[in-house]
Formats: sequence, structure tokens, C-alpha cells
Amino acid sequence: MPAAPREPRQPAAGLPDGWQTGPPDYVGVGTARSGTTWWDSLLLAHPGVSRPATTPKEVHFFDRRWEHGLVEGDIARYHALFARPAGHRCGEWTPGYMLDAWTPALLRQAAPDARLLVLLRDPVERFRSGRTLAESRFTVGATARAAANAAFNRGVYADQLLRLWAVFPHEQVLVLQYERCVAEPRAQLERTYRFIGLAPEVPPELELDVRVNGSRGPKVTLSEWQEGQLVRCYAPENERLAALLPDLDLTLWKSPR
Amino acid sequence: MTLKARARRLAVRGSRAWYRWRGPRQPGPPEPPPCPDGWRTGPPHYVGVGAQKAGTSWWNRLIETHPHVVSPPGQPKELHFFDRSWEEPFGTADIESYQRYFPVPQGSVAGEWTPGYLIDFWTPELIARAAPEAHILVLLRDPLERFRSGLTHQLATSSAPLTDRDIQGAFQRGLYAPQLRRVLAAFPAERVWIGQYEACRADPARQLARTFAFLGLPPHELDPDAIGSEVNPTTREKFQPSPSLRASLLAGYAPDLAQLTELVPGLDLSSWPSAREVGLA
Repeated sequence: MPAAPREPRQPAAGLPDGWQTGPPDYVGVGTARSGTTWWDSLLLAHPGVSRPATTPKEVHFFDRRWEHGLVEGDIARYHALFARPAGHRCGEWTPGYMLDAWTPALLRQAAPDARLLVLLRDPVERFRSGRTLAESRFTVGATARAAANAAFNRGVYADQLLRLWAVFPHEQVLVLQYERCVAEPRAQLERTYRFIGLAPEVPPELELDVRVNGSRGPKVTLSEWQEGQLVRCYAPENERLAALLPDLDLTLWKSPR
Repeated sequence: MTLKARARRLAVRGSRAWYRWRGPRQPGPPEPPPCPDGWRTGPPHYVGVGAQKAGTSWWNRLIETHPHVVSPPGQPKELHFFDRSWEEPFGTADIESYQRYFPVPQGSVAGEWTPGYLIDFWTPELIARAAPEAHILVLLRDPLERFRSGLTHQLATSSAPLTDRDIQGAFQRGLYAPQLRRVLAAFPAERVWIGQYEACRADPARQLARTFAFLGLPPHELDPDAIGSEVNPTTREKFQPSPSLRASLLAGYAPDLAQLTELVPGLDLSSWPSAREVGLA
């Protein structure tokens, strides 16, 4: 099983003329197995967005900083990962940021003005798609039980959103629904571009329905009972989420008959 | 050092190395106890489901002092019967197997208390299938204190340093509202007792009387000496989150605590320092 991803290496000193580093303009914070790699690639396709080749989509900068928070130099180290030509937008997307209790506050310190992106998917489908053991990143002592619980908890979105909203103003957070991105990618992408301060025009040659990362790893096969159980357990949590997000279309997600 | 002592030390070292390599034992139920002549097995009268590090061993021991409560010799408090039930189909044979753990003579009752049942999202519904009439017991504790106690326990039983996954996992266990919603979806509210560790510490005799009444047992006064001491007390220094982590945990628990007041009408949030600190009590 993979260990926690390492933080990317700091870029070599010296930027090309006219380039600059600074806090990310946008940070995707959620959520795993919900099409974030696909959506991130569509952001990068915009002519006004760039990201250095040495900085991956998922920076995982805050994962290991649960104990002491940000220490001296950390904020500069984070900013150094986002080099771009003047006027370009730059960002990253680490789907676990929203889950970890300590991360929203640290992100607010490191990138107070960043626009945050959250892509949510029917938690039952998210669970099915999750390579449960791998995504929970348990090493010694990993049990199927712990992995199933970790995967389930990732789909309880309302509390994660409330933790995010506790430190970031609502208007700084865009919550997208994966199912709507699939159904109407152009409209949702324009919305996303606009949200991070870009011209909303989608590049004409851009292939919108390519699903990056889609088939990697086995899907979890759910029995009828397992699926029913997930649907029943998620139903009240989805209702709570819908109460927080008037735009959320719950008819796109499974609900008990 | 005698040969015997040396052998024992080697065995301890070996088992620790095995534990480090293999990870914690996958808990599962032991063999069911024998059913003596004239006794009958059946569904448990009560099932304690949580929460971990909230005084459940102590409380279960006190319940077992009641003359009408039977505990088969050698049967552990925690059966962990449903731990693996997510992965495998659960049928009539499993229900019968569960009920074999609770042999009682006429007029007595039996039960178990596995604190992990509360976090396992699949378990409340299965308990309702295997023991539809059971009384469900939940002991809650200030989530930040529970968090500290859980990690203290982990540090005491494993030499591995804490990771971000441990921290997130321990945090998640203290988000009680979604866990309680699953229990309350599977059982009618009048058959779910949600107590607070702090209230039990403050006035054990009164809380125990309530527990017995909830279980439908006749009143039973306990010798104050028997009530006294905690089972599994923490002996090492308690895990202390850094100020930065502590602030995040409190902020993370606040929305959950706010839901608890609606879910559990009788809950006394003022006995939880965390709730007071976030302004909910």
C-alpha cells in the first residue's frame, strides 16, 4: 500500500524572466474519487492557467503538519511551489484537504485569498469507486473494517464543508457536483473558470469528456445489501448537505426507495 | 535470572515483534460459551455499542453486578461479532450464532458491549436483525477528552509514531452525530440509552439506577466500594495536542456538538469542557 505521498521538492532557485511565485490562486480541497483529476486537467487547459512541471496536482502540503501547524518558512515553501508567468493563475488540488480536521485552518494561513474548489459525487458511487484500502493509506494494522470505515467517512460531506466554512468565507468556496459536470461539462467549466477569475470561454479544441484517472484500480463490487446499506446510511447526511447547499441536486444521487 | 524468567522475557519480546510486524489482532468473537442444563440461549437483552474510551468497561462491570445479569465465565465484554460483517453476507446462521453467546437461566438477562459497533456504519442495522428487542447502551464523553484518551491508548499499545491517519481516525470517532443517527435509525429512541461518562463519574449510583431502570431490571443498590474504581484507567501521561491542533479539533467538533443537542434531548453539554469552550453550553 502506498505511504502518504511526499511533498513535492522545492523548485530550483531562479525563475524565468517575468515569472513569479506566490500563494495559489485556487486550491481544490475535495474530494477523492470524484473526478478531481479530470476537472484539474480542464483547469490547466485554460490559456490563463499554468503550473510548473515540478508541482503535481496533489501537493499534500498540510498532511504531515497536524502536530505543529505551520512553522517558520512553511508559508514561503508552499508559495514557492506556485511559479507562473505574470497574470497567470496557478493552483493545486489535494482531495484530502477537506477531510483532515487541521487542514482548513492551515490553508487559510498559507493562502488566505485562494478560491477553493470542492467536487462532490454521490457518496455511494464514490465509495464504490474508491480503492478503499489504498485511499485510506493505512499501513501496519490495516483491516478491511478500518478501510471500509475510512472510505465511508469520506462521503459524509456536510461536516467537512462546515469545517471549511468555519475558516473560509462561503463566497470563497465553489461546490461542484460531479454528476452535473458529467452532464453539462461546458456550463460547469465556465462557472469554474469564472470563479477563479478567468475568462469563461472554454478553449474550442478542448476535449471535455475525457475522464482522467477513471479506470485505474479495481472498483469495489457491492452486493445488493451493501449498496442498500450505504444508501440508507448516507441519506440523512445527504439531506444535511442539501440543507447547506440550496443548489445541490439530490435527485442525481441514490436515495432510499 | 531463572530460565523460566528468561523464557518469559523472550516470549514477550517475540510477541511484541510479531505485533509490530503483523499489526493489531483482527478482533473477532471467541467460541460461544457452553449452555448449562436448564439455561436457554437467545438474543442479548442489551448491547452496548460505544463509545471507545468513554468508560464502557467500568460501566459494563457495574451492570454485571446486578443479580439478574448473567455473564458466562470467560466471556469477554466485547464480542466484536459484527467486525467483519461488512465484507460477508449476514444471514440466519449468523443470527443464530450470535444468539448462542447469551445463555441465561430463567429470569436472568445477558448482554455485551463492543464500543467499536458505533463507528461501524453497517453494524446498527445488523444488531437490529440479530437482536431486534435489544436495549442499546451508548456512553459518550467529551470528544476532545475521548480523542486524547484514544491516542494515549494507541501510544501505549504500539511503538509506531502517530501519523496523520491516526489523528484523523481518532478525530472522526468523536463525531458522534452521524454515528448516533445510524443507531436511532435502527432502534426506537426509547430503547436507546445515551449516557455521559462525566455524569457517571459525578454520580455513579444515580446513573447506574437509571441504567438498571432502562434495562427493566429491579433496583439494586451497589456497595459504594464496588462502584469506585475505573477499569482500564490511563496510567501513562495523556496525549496532549499542540495548541494549533487543539484549536482545529475544537472547531471541527463544534458543528457536531450543535447537532447532538437536537439528537439527544437530555444531553448535558455543560459537563463537556469542549462544548463550553465553543460556546454551546
